[in-house]
Amino acid sequence: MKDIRAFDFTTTEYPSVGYDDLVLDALESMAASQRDYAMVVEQGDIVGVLEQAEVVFAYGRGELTADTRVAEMARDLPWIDADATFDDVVRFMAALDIFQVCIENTVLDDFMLLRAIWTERLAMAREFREYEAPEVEA
Amino acid sequence: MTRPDADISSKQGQGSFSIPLVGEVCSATFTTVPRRRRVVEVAHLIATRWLSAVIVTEGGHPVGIVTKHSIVRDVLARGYTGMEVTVGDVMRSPIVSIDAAAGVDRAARLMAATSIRYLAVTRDGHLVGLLSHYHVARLLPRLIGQAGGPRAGRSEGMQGPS
Repeated sequence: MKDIRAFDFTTTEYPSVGYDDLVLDALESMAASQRDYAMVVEQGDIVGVLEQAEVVFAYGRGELTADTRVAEMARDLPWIDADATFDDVVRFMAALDIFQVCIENTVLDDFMLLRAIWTERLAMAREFREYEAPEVEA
Repeated sequence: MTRPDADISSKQGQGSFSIPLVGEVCSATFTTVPRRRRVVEVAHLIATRWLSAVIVTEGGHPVGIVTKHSIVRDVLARGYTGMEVTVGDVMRSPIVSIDAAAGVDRAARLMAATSIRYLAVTRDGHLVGLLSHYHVARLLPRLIGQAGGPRAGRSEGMQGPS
């Protein structure tokens, strides 16, 4: 993972919202694109992220209304350098406890990261192929 | 399946909306793995089957949960490949559960209070499903539009952390 450039595995296909958008509308965007987050894009740049789970937490705390705007709930999403490796991204995610990273206006989330690592796209995955998927109990 | 006390009138007086029960909206299909499984195997399972989390069992009983994020944060970021550790080593435990008969609003309060995205759903003490933030989120437009937010109240149905 030290030599794999993370940027090569990012995507530009993510739901995008603006700070002034309604959170409930943002949820619809997430559902339509089958993501559990939406990127906050301002003037063409990714500047933040709205997590579906954070919206649910806000509802659970009684803080969500039909008028709640993305700006009230989104958090900043720091960028990581375009030359970052998978190792860099993993440490970045862990240190900040974030679920996505932004690289040059593209996105790499934790699931994409796992898929990239544990599929045939990477040579290192060959190391793991001998292990069959565990049986499912239920 | 609805609760008699779950009807709440809309603010606009346009009828009522029954808050769904956890058992109605959770995923009844979920994946469990024994706690002795190596993380590398479970990560492969998550990646190839498009899972977000798996429930870890011991002796057939749920004892913890492992998510895609916890594999990144607690395994890869610590320099492990996943071959050296088992899911029992990295799982979040004890598992937080909620009764299938509880309302979704109560599940949301429990998620918020614990900052946990996945709840084990039980009925009569047995694991019957997995409730994620996704299941709650897709109901929020109706829940917010009709009720304005979760009602304060007792916490029947909550079982976590257990």
